[in-house]
Amino acid sequence: MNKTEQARLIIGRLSEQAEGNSIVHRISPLCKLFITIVFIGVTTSYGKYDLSGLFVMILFPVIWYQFAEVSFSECLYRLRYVMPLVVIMGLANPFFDKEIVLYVGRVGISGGVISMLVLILKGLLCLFMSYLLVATSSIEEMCIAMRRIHIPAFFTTLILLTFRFVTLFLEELSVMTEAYQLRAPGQKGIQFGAWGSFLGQLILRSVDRAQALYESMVLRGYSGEISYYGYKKYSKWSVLITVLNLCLVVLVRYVRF
Amino acid sequence: MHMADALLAPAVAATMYGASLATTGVAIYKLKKENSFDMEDSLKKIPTMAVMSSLVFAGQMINYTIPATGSSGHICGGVMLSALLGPWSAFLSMIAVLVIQCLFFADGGLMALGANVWNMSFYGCILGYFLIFRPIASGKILKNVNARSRLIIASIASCIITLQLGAFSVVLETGASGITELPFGAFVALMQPIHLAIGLVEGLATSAILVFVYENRPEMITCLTDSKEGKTSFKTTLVILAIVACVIAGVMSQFASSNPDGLEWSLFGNEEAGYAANMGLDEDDYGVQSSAAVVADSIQSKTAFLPDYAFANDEDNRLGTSVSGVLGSAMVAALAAIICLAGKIFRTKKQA
Amino acid sequence: MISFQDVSFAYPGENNILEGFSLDIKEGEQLAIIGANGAGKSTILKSVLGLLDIRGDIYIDGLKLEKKNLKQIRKSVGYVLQDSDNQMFMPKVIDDLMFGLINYGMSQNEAKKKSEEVLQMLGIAHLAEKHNYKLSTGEKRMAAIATVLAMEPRIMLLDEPSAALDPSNRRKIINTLNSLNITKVIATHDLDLVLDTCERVILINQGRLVADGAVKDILTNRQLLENNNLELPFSMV
Repeated sequence: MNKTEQARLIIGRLSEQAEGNSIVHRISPLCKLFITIVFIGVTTSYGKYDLSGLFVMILFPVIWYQFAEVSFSECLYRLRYVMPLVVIMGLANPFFDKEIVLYVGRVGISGGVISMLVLILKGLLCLFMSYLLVATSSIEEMCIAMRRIHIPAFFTTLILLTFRFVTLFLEELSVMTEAYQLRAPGQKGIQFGAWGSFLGQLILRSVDRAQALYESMVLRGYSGEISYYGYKKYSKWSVLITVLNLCLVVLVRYVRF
Repeated sequence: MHMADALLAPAVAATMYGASLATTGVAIYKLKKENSFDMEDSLKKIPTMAVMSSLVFAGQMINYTIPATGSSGHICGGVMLSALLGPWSAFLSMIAVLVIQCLFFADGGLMALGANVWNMSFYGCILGYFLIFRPIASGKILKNVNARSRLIIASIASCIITLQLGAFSVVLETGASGITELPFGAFVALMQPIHLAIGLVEGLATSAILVFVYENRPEMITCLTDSKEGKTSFKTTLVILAIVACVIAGVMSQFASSNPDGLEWSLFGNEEAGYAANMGLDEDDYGVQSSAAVVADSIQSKTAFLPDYAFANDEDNRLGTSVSGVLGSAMVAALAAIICLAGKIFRTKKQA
Repeated sequence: MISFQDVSFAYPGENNILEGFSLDIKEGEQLAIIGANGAGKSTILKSVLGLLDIRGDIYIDGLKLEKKNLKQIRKSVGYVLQDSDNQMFMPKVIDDLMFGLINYGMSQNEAKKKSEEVLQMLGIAHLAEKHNYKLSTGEKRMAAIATVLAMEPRIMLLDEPSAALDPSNRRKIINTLNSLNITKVIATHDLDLVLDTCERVILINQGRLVADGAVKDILTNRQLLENNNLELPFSMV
């Protein structure tokens, strides 16, 4: 399976998950967005040695995931894209910050180790919550939410169309790659001389297709409003849950037990 | 180059959001003026932008290995977008890509979105286009080179330079957030060469694509074919540089406010290692710079979500991390385990 | 019903694709536009919908084609694209039918009911809940026609409706077309399809109107067809 196929699979899996019907799926997307941003803001605001304080925050994703019925392993799979830079940054800390701050039994633990753990934990927590948002809201719902906070229709249309075209694009790309490889056995990748015409053709052709597609949307009365996708019923408790979550986050962050 | 949320302190993230939002405002204003926002009138513009965004998206999904470093990278695409769509549309297209990545794929953080937009979209689409790509491609510089070669040179130069700037911004933003002990110089030495390689590959790819498009559909590359386009005035140059200076000052002020030791250490304290010399700064200059920084900082403390909390009780934490902390964490872990277990039992019951 | 008055069109910086084209189409007429590849057939269809910057005037149902009338014109004119993939952009077939209806102000439930009726009428009710990308080419073409029919157009424009279809699907499309009592304009070079569906034919070559007449007159004129890069239909040989 080549890379483009893999990319398509990822997209497919994510949109399938977003179609679920758990309690969390039914919270209005704007509320979920707010919850996520608050969580991330608070998480990143922890001091760099405040491991024990930060650790309590784990409870939030744990609880949310229980209600969302979202696969946790899928989320872990995404770590490989996001975590490398965070881990590199973190790994440096023990080398530069060697002051011992804590003894566990006889073993002294330096500030660097603590701050490394804090950084990695922050990375994980933020990712868990962002992934929860992704896995429980579809792109259309998000675009409706964006329209509600007056983001221009131009922009939401751009996002929707881009998302649609990615699948088409990857499809074409994988067909073309196959066609190329059939005529160039044993070559790794595509040789430089062909890059321009390979991608260039793809672009020009896709632009034509995209224009035809957009025309047919406009012909059927599309004017930027995605009135269509409203069919999901949102839970009446959305705002209540959001406020509750906000209170809990602030409580955990600012009150020491 | 996508930054994760954990790499940024809230104040830095807010600064970057501010800078990116301001630029977005300008872009929307410019596009509205050309009437691109009428959904039925822009029959060509919207789909073309969407195709280019999706190309960049696809390109960023498919990582390639960077020779000799063991790490992998992906194309960024800003320069190609601005060459084919014009800088302002390109800027929005790039934001669309980043928003999709962050809201639908959890790639790049939600809070780090502002920083990511700045690092990739602003440098690639706006700065790169106005200051590097257009002057070279339109023949303002290099008058007696043919259009094809100008395109190639312009693409490679702007890709490399904008990626370097982007990578440097990542270093600055992370440094200002005070989350790493990695010295400034070492971090720069780590980031810049990797992005030099990425920039070169991307420059080659961009130039190959642009040359093909130019030969087949020249009208798509406006700065070469449209005579009204193609002039970057001195004023534009100054404005862009001034904006960049402001944002850098804003980020640097975070260094000053949230991590005074770090800044001292990385820029001045380690004189013998030559960092200060490298940066071209000394203590006297710093005084001048920080006056701008104070202004930026005061704006931030108003806009920031949680202004500078991070270091307020660091001293306490350092001492306070003790047995009670370990004990508390153990309790939290146990609680988490119980919640998971309860959820599992609940679900199996529901199924049965 | 549709009237072209001296219409010309060219992409910027290129030769004219359509030149001094005039034509009147009457209500209820079944018109075929024939011509070789690149003769300008699709351009004629697209110009009716206001998708191109043309010179000259077009009147549809007495309405002049201009910006303020566009919405109304587009509502009464249905356009089936050559490539159905470009026409179907929603996740499921039924969503695609409902898309246009809701954009024109129908409620969710009404739109769903109407869409199901149309699918029923075309005999493809079983496709309603299918995902668009899982359809075969023939199913896709039928679904694309359904999306247009759901809007209850008074005029239907079809661009190569039989392209890339196997014989049985082609037959299905022909039967469907014949069962519809509205004005139809079909652009194609499938002359057998024309024989089965239309009464009047116009022949286009390089953007100019070459011939206009009854099907039986034009499609039997070997000389005329061959001069314009077409051949006699099989059934006439």
